[in-house]
Amino acid sequence: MLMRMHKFIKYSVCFFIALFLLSCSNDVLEKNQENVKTVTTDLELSKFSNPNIAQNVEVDFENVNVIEKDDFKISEFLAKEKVVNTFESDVLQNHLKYQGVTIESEGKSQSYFLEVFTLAKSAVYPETITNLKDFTGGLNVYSFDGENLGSVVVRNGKAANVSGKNELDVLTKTINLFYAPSDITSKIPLCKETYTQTVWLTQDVWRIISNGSKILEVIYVGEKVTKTTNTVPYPCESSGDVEAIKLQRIAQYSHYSENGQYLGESSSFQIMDYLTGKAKCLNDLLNKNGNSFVQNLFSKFEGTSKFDIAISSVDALPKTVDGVVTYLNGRTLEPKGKLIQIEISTTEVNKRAPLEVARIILHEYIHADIYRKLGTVLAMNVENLDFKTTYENYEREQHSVMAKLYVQSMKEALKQFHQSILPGDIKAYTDYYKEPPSDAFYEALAWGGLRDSRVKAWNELSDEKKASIEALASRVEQFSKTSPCSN
Amino acid sequence: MKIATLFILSLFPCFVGAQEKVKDTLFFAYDSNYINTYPENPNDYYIKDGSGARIGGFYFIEVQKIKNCKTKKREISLKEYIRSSKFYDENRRLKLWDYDLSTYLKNYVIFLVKTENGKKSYIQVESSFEIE
Repeated sequence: MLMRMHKFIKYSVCFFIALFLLSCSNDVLEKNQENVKTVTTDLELSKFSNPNIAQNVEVDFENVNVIEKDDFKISEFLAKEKVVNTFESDVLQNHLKYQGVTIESEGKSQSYFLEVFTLAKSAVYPETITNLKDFTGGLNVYSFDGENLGSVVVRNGKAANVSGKNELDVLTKTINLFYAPSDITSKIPLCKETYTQTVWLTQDVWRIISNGSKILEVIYVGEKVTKTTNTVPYPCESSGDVEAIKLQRIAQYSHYSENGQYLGESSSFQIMDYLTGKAKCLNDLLNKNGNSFVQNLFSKFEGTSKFDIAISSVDALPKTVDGVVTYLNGRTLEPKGKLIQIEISTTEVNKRAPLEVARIILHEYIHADIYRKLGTVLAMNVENLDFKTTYENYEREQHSVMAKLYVQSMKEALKQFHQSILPGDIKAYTDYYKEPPSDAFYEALAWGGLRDSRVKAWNELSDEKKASIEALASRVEQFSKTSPCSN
Repeated sequence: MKIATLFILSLFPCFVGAQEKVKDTLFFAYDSNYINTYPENPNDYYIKDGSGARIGGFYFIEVQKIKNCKTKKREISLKEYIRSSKFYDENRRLKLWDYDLSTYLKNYVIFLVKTENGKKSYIQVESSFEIE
């Protein structure tokens, strides 16, 4: 009997312990299930067009991590490949990471499934979007039903909606909630009305080779350093809350609309300059001296334009034409996403007079402007209508468009540049030809790169005009080839 | 299930890790009489109908080479594809609208298929346009 009782107590204790443990784990489970319910309601991996995600990714719904910051509630869960794929790349880490995120804010919920590409030099993806300060890479973003929403690029914790899709704004803004650049926020200056702040921004620039929104390869192009000096109001009248001050500082460097929508890393147009030597010297002189043509051209890229320009020096640009290798002065590549790339040949630039090099650079900037126009829904105004009509009338041929619409303003630009930057040239020209450079000379120069029998606008000129242009343009060869910059 | 799997495979004959959305794939037979490569630009593939960089030229940039690609799709002629497209007109001064062709082909995943000794190799390329 005693034995039987002992056995009963033993079993009872075990039962209650088991029940207690079960109830504990049920509590945890219920909490997790609640979160799981929130974040996984619509996740249907089988619908994904990406076969790796559809067939080879499994989700860990048991561990949902919930973080709340400001008015945002972020629920995250991990996903992993059943069979781990690796790929070889000099630029990227060789594993992809996957993660699900649901962000709730202002009564709305947005869910994302992330495929994470990590740059080789970055820290490993920390499996959360809330702590990306050491992470640099790209996020391929999907909705929970498999629709590809585009890409978000993160550099040391700062996110940019590179696809420009509205659906990615919440994700981008959420990542940036946790971004706090140390050089801006670590030093809280003494309280006074304003202070001057110098910010050095170093940006890595990558050439992203893509097919549509598919990133095929990311090539490191170089580093762009910009210095900005601002007079910034210090929030003396505020609560003094360090976090609030930090956020205020950060807000000055992020770009949000009035209703809080994140507008991307930078809404302003950027020229990334990777030129060297003589080309750099002349490009700097064109830009820094406020050449009105260049300013006017670049002003069109500001505001609603979605394009940036990267201009770089390359050793040479050989091309085989009819079995013979010829060399280009420069070339402009069609836009890759947001970026229009211009390459200037160092070899050709070194053979030419500074005025001719300025002409080559302006010529390529005009191609960038034409790409901008072709890739933008243009407002209806006289200039744009003129462009569209000319582009169609001249059989979609860029050099004819340049001849018809840009030669006159380029002539003025070259004249302004020559007379203000290269007075030695003017004197040499005047001494040699017994006359100062005429408007016709600068116009002839502006025809450089357009004097081709396949350019319709060139063919429309009379033989006499063509001969005059050829003769005047050849005068540029008389000028010194020395760079006007001392170094 | 078997049918569904086969269907998926035919949509994605070559697995590309970063595939984001469904794009049709074009397999062009590599015709060395129509496609030119030059030692000075080894990753670029120029076509005979391209207008060239001086006037604005279409070309392909190599993305990657793929040795094993299990597809039963037949290759088509690039020359016929381009010449029968709206971007080409034999009677026009500039026969090819290079920029428009490049923009259009960005909607596709493209492979140039080389056949040597009965064995096929695949070069994934993307369309591009350059102008001096």
